[in-house]
Amino acid sequence: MDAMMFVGPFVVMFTIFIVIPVLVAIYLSFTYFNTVEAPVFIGLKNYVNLLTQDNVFMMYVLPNTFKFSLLVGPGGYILSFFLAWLLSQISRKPRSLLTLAIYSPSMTAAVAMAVVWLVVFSGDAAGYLNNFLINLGVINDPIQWTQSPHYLMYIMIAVTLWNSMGVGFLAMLAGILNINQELYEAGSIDGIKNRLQEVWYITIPSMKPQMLFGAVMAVVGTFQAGDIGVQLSGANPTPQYSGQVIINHIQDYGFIRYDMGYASAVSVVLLIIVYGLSKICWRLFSEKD
Amino acid sequence: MVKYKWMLLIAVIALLIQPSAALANAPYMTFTFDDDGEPIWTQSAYLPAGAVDGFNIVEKDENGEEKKVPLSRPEDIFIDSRDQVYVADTGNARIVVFDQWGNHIRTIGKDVLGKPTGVFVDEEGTVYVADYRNEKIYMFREDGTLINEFGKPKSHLFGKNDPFKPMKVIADKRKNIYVVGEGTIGGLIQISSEGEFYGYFGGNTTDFNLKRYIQRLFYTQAQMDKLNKQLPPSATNVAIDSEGLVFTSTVGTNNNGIKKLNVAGKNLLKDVWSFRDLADVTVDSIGNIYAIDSFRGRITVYDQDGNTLFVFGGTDVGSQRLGLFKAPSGIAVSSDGRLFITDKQRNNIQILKPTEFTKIVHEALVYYMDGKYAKSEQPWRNVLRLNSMFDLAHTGLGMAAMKQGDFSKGLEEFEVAGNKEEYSNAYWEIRRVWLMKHTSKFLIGIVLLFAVIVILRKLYRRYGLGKQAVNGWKWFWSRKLPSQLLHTLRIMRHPVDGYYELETGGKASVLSATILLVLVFLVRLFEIYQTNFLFAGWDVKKINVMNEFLKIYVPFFAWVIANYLVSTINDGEGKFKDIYKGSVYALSPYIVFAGPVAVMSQGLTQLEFVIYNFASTCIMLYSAFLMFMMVKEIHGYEIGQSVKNIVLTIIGMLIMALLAFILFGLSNQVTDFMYSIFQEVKYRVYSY
Repeated sequence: MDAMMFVGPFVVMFTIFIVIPVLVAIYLSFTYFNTVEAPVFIGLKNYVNLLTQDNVFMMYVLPNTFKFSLLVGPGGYILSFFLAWLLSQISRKPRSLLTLAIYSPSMTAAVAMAVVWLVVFSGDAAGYLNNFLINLGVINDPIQWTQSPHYLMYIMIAVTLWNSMGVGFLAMLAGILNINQELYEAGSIDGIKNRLQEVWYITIPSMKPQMLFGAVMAVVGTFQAGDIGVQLSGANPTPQYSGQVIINHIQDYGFIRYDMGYASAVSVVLLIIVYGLSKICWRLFSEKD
Repeated sequence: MVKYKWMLLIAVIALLIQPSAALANAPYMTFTFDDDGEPIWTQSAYLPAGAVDGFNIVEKDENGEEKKVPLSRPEDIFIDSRDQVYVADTGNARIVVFDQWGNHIRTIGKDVLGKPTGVFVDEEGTVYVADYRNEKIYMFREDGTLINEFGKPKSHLFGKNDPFKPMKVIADKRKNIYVVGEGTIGGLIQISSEGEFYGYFGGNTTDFNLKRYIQRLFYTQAQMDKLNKQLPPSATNVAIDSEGLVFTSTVGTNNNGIKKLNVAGKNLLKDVWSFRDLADVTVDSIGNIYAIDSFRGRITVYDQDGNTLFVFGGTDVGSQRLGLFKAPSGIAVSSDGRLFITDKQRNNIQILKPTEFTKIVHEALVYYMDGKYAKSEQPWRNVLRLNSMFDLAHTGLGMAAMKQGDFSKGLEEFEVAGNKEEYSNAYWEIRRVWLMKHTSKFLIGIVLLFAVIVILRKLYRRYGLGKQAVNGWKWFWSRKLPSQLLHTLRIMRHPVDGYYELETGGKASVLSATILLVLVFLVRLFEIYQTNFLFAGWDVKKINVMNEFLKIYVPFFAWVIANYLVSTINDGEGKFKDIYKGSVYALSPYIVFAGPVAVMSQGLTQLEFVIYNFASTCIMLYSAFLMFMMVKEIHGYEIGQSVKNIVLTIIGMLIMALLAFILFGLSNQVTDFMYSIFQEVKYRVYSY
């Protein structure tokens, strides 16, 4: 009972703000709900439509999401570990400064990021990148970076990688800094020759929990980061659906077309995907080997 | 480039064969390209129909005597909307007008022109002439009276020192004149009908060149001036169609020689393959593009999107036959589809008429390009009756079938045509229909399957249901050989431990490794024949099993042997047997996953290319990683040593290849030598 007392507030809040909304969304995904009339139960139709009728989803959204998350998820994860490890090698003062610098992008909202990056990828000849390339002589007339289906995806990936040093990165840094230094000494006596072996045999095994946390955060963050495409191109749907990922698709159906039932169905699919990937991360990094 | 080589080969073959006139009345081969970009012969698209040399043109000379003045070095030809043929008869400084049967009607600009090199007639019959020697553009009425003339634009935008050497000229509907100038690098010179300079239009560009950029960074101005300037090539000729799109031809390039420019000067054609020395380009009423190469005498016909339809024609090496050219300079097409080609050296106009086949193709194209696929079906069928190898016809039929909702027929046609994009779309539709039928069953089925699995597991644990089956299964996999085969999975999950066990624990034997090695080949064959042709980089019809066999096993054994030899020098611990086993087991990702990936590819379309690509790349990378781990673990190396060892092994393999090559070459020589001695002796013995 005492335990329940302590845990109680959290359980209540968690139920009200997480469990119930998720359950409601799952229920809504089996209905037709246009936010004005009461939801009408239509069974699996939303899911069937998603897989068969929704060309945009199958043609662009799924492949895009796959591509985006594949590059940004593992990429950001490896990058954050690498940066954390680099930072752990230097003394305290510059480390704090650099950590703040690297961490700060992830605190900004997508809108703010878009503002910053649009200066670089601006479509006129005054945009940094265009200007640079024109001066080099690589291109002759400015490229509409964020409006062009060829480049939008890559720009999204670059920008997302830049701001993917979030909580996971901090956790990893903390994890690395918390490793007992005596382990390294012991290791070197036992015949560890170089840094790479140190990382592989000591650092990573001793910070498994943080690695797991980072991995789960990377998965979740990746699937939430899709908004950047809409912010950069200033339109939902993005030009020729080139930067359309699942999140944009949900927004498109939920808040532009007001087909909440369908949007819920897509978000349930997203939930299943994220849950599955988190499970895989658990399998990889959990303590029970 | 590949195409080009093929063309050369074909040309050589064509020259060698030299078909006799009785068999073919065309002195050249006609071919088109299949989906791999390789030329295939078709029946003749155009046949020589005659030549016009203007021997019946009578002119008075200074003394008032009449004499015949035939065409001399004609540089350009234009056919107006009423099928009158205008020829820039450069050598005689005049414009000659014929009717479409080659009868001389009149002559224009006899005493005005100096060296007319380009001629154009607009809708109203105004004749525009570009005169190279006088450096002027002339405008005549139809009857030959001079309306207007202007020379170099006076605008200071047109550089003071820039020459104005007009070669060719066209005018659009708004009476703007576009001039091809010799040596103008900015593109076409655009002039109003009053001679006012508007600017340059649709210029060619020089590509970015890293070497040049670095030179720019470090060279002084003096050094830069010594280098020859990198200038974009200027167009050689120009044409305009009824919609006002401007076509230009450029020499010196194989893949952007023909451009179709809109009003803004933007090129609408992508990657049009062409010969390198285009003299002229023209366009007919349905948008087909015709280009002629001055050096090879070849005519290329494209549809409006720049897909090659036919290539034909050739150079005249003295046979004086119709249909062969010495220095073709201009091409024009009449309303009934006949081609008129001026030849600077043969001093005539040759006329080629379309065959029945070409007429049907054009008829089909009219509908096809308009998107009226259903209407184009019948003509395409007729085309196929004449030539079943004509890819575009299959694509057309496929499109027609798609329009009528017959996706599976469309799929077949696109497969024959090798049209990957449309095949993918057709497959997409078929898949969608299938999914629509089965998705809900499928979803419910998956949920039920999960439930059943969970329940069965519960029952098995609680009450031992199906214990015998499970035990039998377990017993089978614990036998020696199956467990050794199963070690592939262990290696994939825990490479380090896996290789350690492989070396010491007897977890893998030479027998099991050999079985797996045979499996590699079988999996490869399966992959070759089962991968969806959208993703396959090979042509199943051209696969030779023996070659594939060698492709897998020769490098593999070379690797094993070379690695063993290198590691004995580099104090690696591995025995030959262990390297062999380890290398085979390193391929386990391929053995396990390549088959399923190939099967999966059957269900994908081009849109999901990412997925297939990712899967196959993963297999390759993981196998490479396991190979690396194999070297590291079997020989007990550190990472640096392993890299060194692998590099040395690859070098060793290359040396082996070189040795094999030399040995093979020499032994060939020896056998030849022996054989000839044997023959010699035989001959001597028998002759006495």
